[in-house]
Parts: sequence; structure tokens; C-alpha cells
Amino acid sequence: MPIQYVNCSFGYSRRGAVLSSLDFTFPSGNTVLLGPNGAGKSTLLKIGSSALLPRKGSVRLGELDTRSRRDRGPYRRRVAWMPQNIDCVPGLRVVEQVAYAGWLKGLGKDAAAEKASWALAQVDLTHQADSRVSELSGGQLRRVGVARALVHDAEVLLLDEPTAGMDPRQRRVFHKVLGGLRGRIDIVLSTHDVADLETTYDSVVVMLGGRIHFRGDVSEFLEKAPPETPAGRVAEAAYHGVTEGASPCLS
Amino acid sequence: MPFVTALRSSSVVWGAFPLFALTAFLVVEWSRFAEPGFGTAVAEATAFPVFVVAAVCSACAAWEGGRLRRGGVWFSAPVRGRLRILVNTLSPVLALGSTSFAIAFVFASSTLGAFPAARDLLPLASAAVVTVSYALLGFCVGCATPRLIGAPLMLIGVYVWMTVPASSDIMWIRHLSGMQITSSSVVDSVEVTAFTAPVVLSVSLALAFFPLMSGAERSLREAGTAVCCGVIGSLVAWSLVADWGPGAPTTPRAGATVCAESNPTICLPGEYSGEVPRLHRIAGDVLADLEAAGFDRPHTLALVSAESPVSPGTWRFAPHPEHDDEFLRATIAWSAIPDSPDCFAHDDGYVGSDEDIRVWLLLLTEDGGTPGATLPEDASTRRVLPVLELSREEQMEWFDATVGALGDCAPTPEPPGRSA
Amino acid sequence: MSLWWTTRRWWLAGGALGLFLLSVELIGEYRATVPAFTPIGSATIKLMLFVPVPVCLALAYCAQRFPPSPESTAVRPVGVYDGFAVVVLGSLAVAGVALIDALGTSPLAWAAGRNLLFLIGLTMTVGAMAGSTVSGVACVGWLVLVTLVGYGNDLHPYPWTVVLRDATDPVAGIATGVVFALGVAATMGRHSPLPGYTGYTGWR
Repeated sequence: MPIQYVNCSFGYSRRGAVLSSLDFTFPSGNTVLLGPNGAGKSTLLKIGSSALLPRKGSVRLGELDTRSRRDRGPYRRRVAWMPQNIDCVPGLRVVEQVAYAGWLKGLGKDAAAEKASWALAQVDLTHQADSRVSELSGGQLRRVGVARALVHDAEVLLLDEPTAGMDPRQRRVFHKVLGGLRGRIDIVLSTHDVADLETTYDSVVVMLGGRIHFRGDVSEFLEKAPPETPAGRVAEAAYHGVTEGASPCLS
Repeated sequence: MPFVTALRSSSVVWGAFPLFALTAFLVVEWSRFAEPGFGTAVAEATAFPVFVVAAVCSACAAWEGGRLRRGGVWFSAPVRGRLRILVNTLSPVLALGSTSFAIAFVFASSTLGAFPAARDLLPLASAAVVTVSYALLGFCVGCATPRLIGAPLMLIGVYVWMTVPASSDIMWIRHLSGMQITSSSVVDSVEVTAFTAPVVLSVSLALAFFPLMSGAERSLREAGTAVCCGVIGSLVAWSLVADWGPGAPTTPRAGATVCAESNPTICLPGEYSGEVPRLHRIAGDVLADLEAAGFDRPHTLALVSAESPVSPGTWRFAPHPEHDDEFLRATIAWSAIPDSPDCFAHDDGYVGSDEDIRVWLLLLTEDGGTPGATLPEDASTRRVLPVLELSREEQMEWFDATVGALGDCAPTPEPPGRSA
Repeated sequence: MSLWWTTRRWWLAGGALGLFLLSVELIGEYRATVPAFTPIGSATIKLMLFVPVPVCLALAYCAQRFPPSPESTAVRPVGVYDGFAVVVLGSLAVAGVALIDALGTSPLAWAAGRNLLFLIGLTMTVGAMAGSTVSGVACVGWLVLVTLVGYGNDLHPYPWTVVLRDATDPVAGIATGVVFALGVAATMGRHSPLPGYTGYTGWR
């Protein structure tokens, strides 16, 4: 079941709106969220996770509305969110960080520990389970963030730039994880990495200036690229085509 | 980073206004008890708010150290050296402290109506160095602790350290906090050591904490050297004041006295020189009365330090510009009593007093008709009045006996002529 | 709950509470004369005034040990748990000072306990509004402020100071209760995703 934004508006201050009267529903399946920096992607995901409430309008998952205090608990149980900045508690081990996230989502202590180990295995961090977060690299820290999102059995995964800082091998592992979850849960993933678009995602959403500029399946998106675009550059060209209305000059 | 940018983004902007207001109020408050027209008092009044200025500067410095720590500056392989980064980061804090003392100076100078000479600025210099030292210490602590802990710790720590010891039963600790507990007067200056000891301590403490500044880069040798500096400096500071009492020792204020040649010669500090004509007029009357009672007329009346010996024929007195004529008459009359030791310092149960001869001197020099008319009708007056009925020789004999007893810390004789 | 306990490190606050009770016992009625805005230029304060500081700092430190993103989308009401922890700490403090008072070894025990509850409330309220980093400064700043300007011309402390008043002062007691309750409520509500301001209409 996808997340639905109904006439949603939000701004961090009175000075400007990040989202303005947004009516939008994420497609089912694996969706990639693209857009330039400052387009509002992270804010959209944050609101979708219920970490923030919209100033106007509502965010729903089926009958659950994040504005309702009673609905918020069940909503959060079904939605997992990985933020852009991974914030960890100093002094805790990696497995404790992930287990705590699971416990926060309603898992019991033992279940949280078990699922934490599983989640770390998914992101290939089992060998770092007993390390402190201060000992991790940036890419490893992002994988901790992914593990925290995977630890409880959510129906919707909102991932904000999960592959930033990951090496190519880890990105392949991550896409393999996504592939394993495909069909079982809805995933929305914000990224600047458009490689493997066809094999990983079902839908593409492009945001510009707080609005949804493009929404469609992957093939519709790739058609936006100029015909002469070399293979391997098609997704990038399509992105330029959508955002700038003209293809870049390709040599 | 340009200074304006550093200032705008620092914690100083939050503490500045309250600190400036507090400093101004404290200086005006202190100046109520200070000597008007006295340059040293201006410097001491300016230095008085040091306990607040140092505490706030130390807390702000700890906050800035915490910001650097959070930003990972020490681990970002900076080209600029540690000291350069330190100065750049602390420049807003130093500006805060300097501005606070500048405001204090303006208020003190305008309230007391004086401007200190260069030699009078020692209290202010000491306060400034102590403030810088504790700011540096705060910065180092802030580099090693979360801002949540470092800033409040330094604020309350420096504040308590600088205020509470002043009333401690441990005498030496009173003189190390950096707060001046003994004020200079127009005739006495506080010893220089009272200002250098807190400086030595604060600087050594700041050096002891210096290795905390550089995060994980500190070596054992550096840490050991720093600790040694701290320990040695603390011991040196303690040794400077170890045998001091409740107040800091004073020395006679050099070159302060100006004498007006007249009969008698009146020697006063320069700040009181405007009182010479009034004192001369009153002294003429009072000394004439004392001569008639049998005293040898002094050739000089001097307001000098109690530690300065006076020559024979010089009487020590303690006038003040705010005394009215009646009190000045009393002051001059009492100058006939020679110096005597502080008998209570050696014996808590000493049963002597100069109260009776003071009342007798007032009665002798009373500016009125009936003896005792201008004095309060209390037990002292009733006890001494019968002495006036004795012969001049008997009265002087009793006076000399009392003065002798005071000099020997022996019990003073009862006034003669009392009815049983 | 053990994961929450491990994350927060509440044992630090407990240790600070132990230090507080020990200090109450040892410091007793020691007093010091400090500069203040009074007719005589100084005021006599009890050193007991400062013993709550480590507890408040420890509490603020523990309260800020949380990962914002997971806790802002948590199913479990961790804010409520934190508020409960503050209440438990306050209760332990009250029990501790009651014991010390029963032993008769420190006549100012109740006043110290009341001051601790007040400062805890102040610390947690400021922490929830302005961040934990500022909360510690608020706590000690209050103590510095009251020692400087908290005494009137008759050298008696003003009612608003709370921490300078006698243990039996009813106004100070009520104020402490209110501030402590405010602190607990602020702690409980700090993960609420309420808008930081109201009034935005969405107009461009």
C-alpha cells in the first residue's frame, strides 16, 4: 500500500515553502525519487515517515493519517525511514544501534537483537557488529542506516540516498537486497545514482522546486533521453531531458 | 575567519548584553563603598567584576572549544597551527572580556571622578590576565568535553572558585582566586604579591590543561610537561600567600603624602589636599584646647599609613572629606593618643580600652558651653565627666597611665574622681 | 527497556544523585559570603546551593543521548519513558533527603532536595525547548543569577528565587512543583512531531 500525500504543504520557516499543496501518491513497487539538490526529496520522505507533520494537508497510508495521534503508532510500524544523515548514539556498538532502532519500532528485546543481526547481514556488516560507530567509514555508516530501516518488517521503506559513499561492490549488494524485497514491500529511494535504473526500479518520480515534475514507469522515463544517446548514458540523459527540457551535448 | 564572522557565529553574542549590564551594575555597586577621587579605587572597581567576566568568558570559550571539537577541526589536518586557530577562535571571547572591563572602567571612572595613573593599574592588569587564563582553560576543557558539560561546568566552576574562597577559613586560599579581597586606601597600597599570586595560579592551571586542546595528538611528554607546569605553578602561588592572614598585606603608599606648611603642618594624601584649609581652621581650635589641658602642641598632623613611623611631635590622625566639622574635631582630638599595639590580637580576653580617654579628649575639646552637652548621655560620658573636676596634672597623669597600659597591653586604669 | 537504558546511560544520573546525597550530608550548613546587589555589597549563601548541578548536568547529558531520526518515528513512546525516568530520579532524590533529614545530620536536606527538583525541571524544560546543550548553562546560570541579584535590601531572598528560600516556604514549594511538572511534560513531549511554529498558509 503506497503513501499518499493529500494537499500537502510544508516549510521549515515562514519565509518559504518546501512543499506546496502537493497531491501525490507514491507508486507501488520500487520507486526511485530523483531531483536536484534542494528539490524537497528529503523533506518529502521525512514527512512520509511522520518525523515531520505537514503544515497543511495530510499524509496517509490507507486509512491511517499521520496527523492523528492514534494512527501514528500503527503508521510508523508499517513505514521505515532511513534519513540522509545517519545519526547514531556515541558509545553504542553497531548491533546495539540497529537493535535499538528495532526496539523503537515495537520489536521485543530478543526479537530486536535477532533482527539486528539479520539486518546487518543483509548489508554485509556482520563483521562490524561489535564495532563502535566512531570506527566506521562513511559508507559503512550508511549501511548501518539501511540496516536500521530493514530491522523491522515494514510495508514501506523510505530510503534517503542510501548508496552515497558506498563502493561499487556494496552498491551491488544493496541493489541485490532491494531486489530480494521487490514485490513484498514498497520502496521509495532517493538517489543521485541513476545506474541500473531498469533492473532495480519499477517507477521514477522527479521532483523540482517542491513539486512532482515527472511520474511514470522506468521505460517512460528513459524515453525522455535523445535517440542518439549512447548506451549506459541513457538514464542520465533522460534525467537531463526531464529536468532541463533539453538534452546535454554528448560527444 | 574574519573577526566579524567569528563574532557573529560565536556564543559571545548571547552572553554579551547580560554581562555588560551586570558589569556596569557591579561596578556602580562597588563604587558606593570606594574612595571618590582615588585613582587606585577606579582600577580596583574596574577589576571587581572579574568573577563574572572570567566565568562568562570561560564558559563561552568552553562552548567555542566544543564547537571546534564537534566540527572535527583538530582532525581535519589544518595548515594553520594550533595557536593560530586558538587565537582566531577565542578572539570574540577576548573581545567580550575586554569590552566588559572597558565598560567597567568607564563607569568606575565617572562614578568616582578620577583617572588611575599607570602605577595604579595593577589590579586591572591582574584581572585581565586571570580572565584570559581562565578563558584559555575553559577552551581546553571545551575541546575535551561535550558542550553540554564543558560550558556550564566552567561557568559555575570559575564563579564558585572566584567568589566562595574569599570567606573561607583557609586563609591562603582567599588570596589565590583572583578576586581582590583587600582594597587599597589613600595611605596604603595592597602588596604586589596579592595580584601576582592569582596570576601565577591561573596561568599555570591554563598551561596544565593545554594538552586537552589538541584532541588525540597529545603526547605523553606534552601532557607530563603540562601537569608539571600546573603543579609547580600552583605550589609557587601557594607559597607566595601561605602565611597570610584574612586580608592581604599592605605597604605604605609611596609618594602619596603632600604636606602643607602651616602651624601645625598638615600632611595629607594628594586626594585630600582640598581639605587643608578646613582642617587647619578646626585644628587651631582643638589644639589650643589640648594645650590648655597640658598637652604639648604637635608641629605636624599627618594622615599616613599605620606602618609608617612618625617622628616625635607628629600626631597621626584620620580625617576624611566626608566627615563633618564635628567629626573632624573628634578626629584631631583623638590624634593625641599615641600608637599602641593591637592587644586583642594577642589576647582575646584583654580587659583594656581607650574608650574613656577618647571621651575625655572629646570633653576637653568640646565646642560648646556645658561639658558633655554635645556628647551622648551614656555610661561612658557619665563615667568620665567627674575627671574634668580634677586638676590638670591629675588628668594628664591618668591619661599617661592609660596610654602606658595600652602600650603594654595591661589593664587600663579606671577614670579617677568617680563616685563609688 | 534495557536497550533504552543502555542508550540513555541513566546510571550516570543515578551516580550523580548519589554524589548529590553525599554532598548534602558532607557540606551541611557551610556558608560563604559572595558579592551581591545588596546594601552591604554581599550576601551569605549556603554552599548547598550548588550541589544539584552535577545531577542536572548528568540528566541533561543522558536525555540528549538519543538518535533523533529513529526516535522521531518510534512506535514506542520513548518520551514517556524519559519523563518517567525523570520522575523516578526526583522521587529517589526526595527519598534520599528524607532519609538524611530523619538521620538529623543535615538540617538543609529538604531545601537541597527541593532545589534539585526545581533545577531538574528548569533543565529539562530548557532542554526540550532550546536543546540539551543550552540546558546545562540555564541551570548554572540560574544559580549565578540568584546569588547576584536574589537578595533584597533586607538581605532576605526574593520569592522568585525559589532555591534561596527556606525549605518550608510554600511559594517556593509550589513553584518547584510547577517547574518540575513542566520539565517532565516537556521531556515527554520532545519527540512529538508538532510543527515548530504555526501560521504557515502555504502561500508562495
